[in-house]
Amino acid sequence: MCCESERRLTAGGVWRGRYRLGAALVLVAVVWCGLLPVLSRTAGMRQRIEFLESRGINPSAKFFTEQEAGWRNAAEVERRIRQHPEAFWDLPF
Amino acid sequence: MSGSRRFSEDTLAMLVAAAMLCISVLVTVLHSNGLLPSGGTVATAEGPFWQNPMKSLVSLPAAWEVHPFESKASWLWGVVSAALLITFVMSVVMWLGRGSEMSFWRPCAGVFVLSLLAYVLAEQKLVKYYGLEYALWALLIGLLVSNTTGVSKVLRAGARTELFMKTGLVLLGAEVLFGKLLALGLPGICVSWVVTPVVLIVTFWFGQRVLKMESAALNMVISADMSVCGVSAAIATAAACRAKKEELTTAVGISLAFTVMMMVAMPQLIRAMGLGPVVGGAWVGGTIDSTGAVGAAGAMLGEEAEVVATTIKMIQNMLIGVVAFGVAVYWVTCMERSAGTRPEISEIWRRFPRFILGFLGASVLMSVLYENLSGGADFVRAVVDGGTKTVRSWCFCMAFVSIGLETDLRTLGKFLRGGKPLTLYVCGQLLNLVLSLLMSLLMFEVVFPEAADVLRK
Repeated sequence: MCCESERRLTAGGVWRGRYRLGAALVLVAVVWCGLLPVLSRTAGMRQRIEFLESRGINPSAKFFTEQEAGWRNAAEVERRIRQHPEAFWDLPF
Repeated sequence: MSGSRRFSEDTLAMLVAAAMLCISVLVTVLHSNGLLPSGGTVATAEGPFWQNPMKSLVSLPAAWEVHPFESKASWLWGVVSAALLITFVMSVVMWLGRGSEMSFWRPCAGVFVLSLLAYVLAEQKLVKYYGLEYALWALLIGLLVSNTTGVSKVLRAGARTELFMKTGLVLLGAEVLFGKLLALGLPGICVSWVVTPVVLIVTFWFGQRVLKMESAALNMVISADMSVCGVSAAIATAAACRAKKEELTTAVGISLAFTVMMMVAMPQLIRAMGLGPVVGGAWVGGTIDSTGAVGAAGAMLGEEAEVVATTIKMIQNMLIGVVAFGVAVYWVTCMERSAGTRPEISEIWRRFPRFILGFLGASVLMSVLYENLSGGADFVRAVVDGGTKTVRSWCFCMAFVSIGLETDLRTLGKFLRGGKPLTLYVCGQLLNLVLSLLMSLLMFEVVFPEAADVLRK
């Protein structure tokens, strides 16, 4: 059951791997807890983030159901099509 | 894995998804009729007011700016509940399906913990703003673990990519509502139904005949994620054509990189070209891969553009089922057959990825309920928003962690060798940009100008 990557590691390699993982985790902590919060609090960025939040948009959504705007806009278009079906279905020729 | 193998991974995935869907439907029905202790709104003459209390009980990490617990510390309990629900249902189904695997809860919980870390990273507001979704961080975390310390036995047993991915896909089927295909009338059908399949087929043909891609599966996954809707389409087609994990990773990486670039560049380009909000919105909706990035780019162009862009993208989202089914049928009938022979129906059935049937079944069931049940739209939204969507997101995140855990970084390089995947994506996206723009102009400026007027009101 032992994985290939595990088998490749010698005793020295195990510690080297642990150091690398530790270093990567420290880097992640510094970027996510230090750099990104500072950048996201700059006036321009905060304004843009708040604008999208106010519109119910999730920029990392994978499917329309993952954002409020998806449901809302679909309902709005449905309402408009019900009021003017000819504009969306009748060919002009 | 040990144990007597009885059910295939597809069957296990369908059982887990069916259990999750049943739980969400049952809780919604019982709660909305006041039959749960938590109580629900009393039914009116038109029927019950559909609500699902699972929404607050089973959740994902909340968005954060400075630290993950700054706004809603309660999300942690929702995540713990999600972990308990997923590990319990998965373990029971594994025990039923494979006999001796009730102990799956430990490996499953281990992968869940790594997925939680990926989700927390993805929910940082700046990361989220640029659409760098959990799939990327889940892959990187898995790769980091497997390529530094190596993967422990427990995590190795939990890295069930196919199970998580197919469970997520069957649950995604519940969100594919066929009625939404007509959401924007004939203009929407032409922009999404005509352009998208044409781009998909031409890009695949280009990859096979002109670029001569070594892997047809990689070609198909890139073609589908670029033409349909990014990562979710990539997952569905990768499962349908049995692409390798490294191929899905490559396609997702390229798609995410271009999504960020296009999300920033397209609103500027549309303004520079002087396109109106309706045509601009339709162009954004038809071309940017990721659903979330389409909403963000559309919103940058104004409210009308956002409405059109998200609606066009929603119609493309609905094409996932059709594309996955079509790819699965094409693969078993044309790509996997022996030279010069036509496979028999029984052979096609034997090779056909059964989870696609679960996906379509969930889609048909929820589409029928959406259209025919009293308050069907609210019911489906309660079931999906309350439970299945959250579980589906966790399943996809766990699938990407599993891919990372099973991938050797050095093998990834060979899939990018020669730059063919990148060339394929760029050429396909250029075709997509040209055709989508022409079709949007034709539909909203020439054939249906009144539709554009109605959408602008």
